[in-house]
Amino acid sequence: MHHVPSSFQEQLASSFPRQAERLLCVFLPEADQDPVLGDLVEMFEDNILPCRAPMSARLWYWRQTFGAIAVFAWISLGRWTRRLRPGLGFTGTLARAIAIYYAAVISYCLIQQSPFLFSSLIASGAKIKGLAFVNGLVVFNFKFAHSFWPGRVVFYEYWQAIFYPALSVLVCTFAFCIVRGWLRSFAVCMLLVSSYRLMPFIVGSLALEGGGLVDGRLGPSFILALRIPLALFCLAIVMVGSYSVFRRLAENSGGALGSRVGHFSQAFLLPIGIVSLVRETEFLRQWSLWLLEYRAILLLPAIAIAFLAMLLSTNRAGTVHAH
Amino acid sequence: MPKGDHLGEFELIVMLALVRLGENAYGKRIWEEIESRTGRSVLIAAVYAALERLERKGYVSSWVGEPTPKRGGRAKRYFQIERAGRVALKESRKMLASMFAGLDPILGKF
Repeated sequence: MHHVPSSFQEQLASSFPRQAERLLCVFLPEADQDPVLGDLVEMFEDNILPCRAPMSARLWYWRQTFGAIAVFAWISLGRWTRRLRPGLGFTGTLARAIAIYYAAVISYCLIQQSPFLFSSLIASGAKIKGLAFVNGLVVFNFKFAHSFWPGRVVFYEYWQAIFYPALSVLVCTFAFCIVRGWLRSFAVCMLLVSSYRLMPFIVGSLALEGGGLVDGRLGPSFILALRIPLALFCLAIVMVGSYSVFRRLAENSGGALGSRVGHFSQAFLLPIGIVSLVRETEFLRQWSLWLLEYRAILLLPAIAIAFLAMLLSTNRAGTVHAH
Repeated sequence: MPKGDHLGEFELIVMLALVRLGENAYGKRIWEEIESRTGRSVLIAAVYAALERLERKGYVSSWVGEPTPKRGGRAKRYFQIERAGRVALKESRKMLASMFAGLDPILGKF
């Protein structure tokens, strides 16, 4: 039996959350918006609202919304990859692209006689740490762990590795994992978040879940306490960079939400954006120096372009065919 | 049947819902059918993800209907099983039947 709203507040509570619908308009591919949003409205009004309290019904709608965003992000990635290289899956394309890239980099380094040299390797228990050199110059120190799961290699700490070679080695490791069929879903997460600085957090968390750190000095809570603010910071960077999302939010809310987002970004995100930019500039400076010295093939711009293309194509994708 | 073309558990459930619904199979009806028959709480997005996979395998096709006022002017996306889908369903049934064959005395104990 339908619940009859008696006041404005009740009426508001018994309707589906408009913000959730706006979010779906932003994140769902255009071709899927009508069917999914229509189904959700119909389900909400016919099946959910009559048998649940308004708040519970709205929670149900939000749950469906976040589920839909996650699932359609995955679907869009798949469509995008199939358009890029028909016949190959997303992980297949990624693994091949990374493998080709690293084959080129390693060949170049070998020709230049300046391959990465790993030294000071210390293996204690399941942990390996050491230093990486290029032409006698320490480019980064690294620590990584393995054996959290049988046969899997996991980096859990490379925060000091802000140099490009460090990123290269990290991505190379993941490429290896992907090629071997490990951490498939993780590889997708890696591109989705776009910021490589989130990687240690995610991998660290995974490693903690997988069996805990071997290093007795750093407990899981310490690592998480360190990583969560870091992750939030990185998410802010991603948000600032996601201009297209903001633009679509503004479009879908008739301008009202756009101005709110504008104020929000001025008050909070812009300073963070500036700080991030300074940090990124420093990173780019170091990277450029390295690049000038070793003339390596560009990876980061390629990742940035791929990510942007993915963002732009997300809302254009659609495989619905009319009969 | 090549590897990867087999029906997963949820895909099988979605396909059976499509068979039951016939020509009137669209997102909400499929979701209702699955929830009411299996008792599972299902995300509508999960249904669409399964349908997307099935469509890619050529087991299902879809078309967009007319917008209706009840859905806030939003159009429905209808789904139907293709010939390859029927074959895959039969294969799955045969496989399951073969695996279950002779297990009644054992399963009856649980």
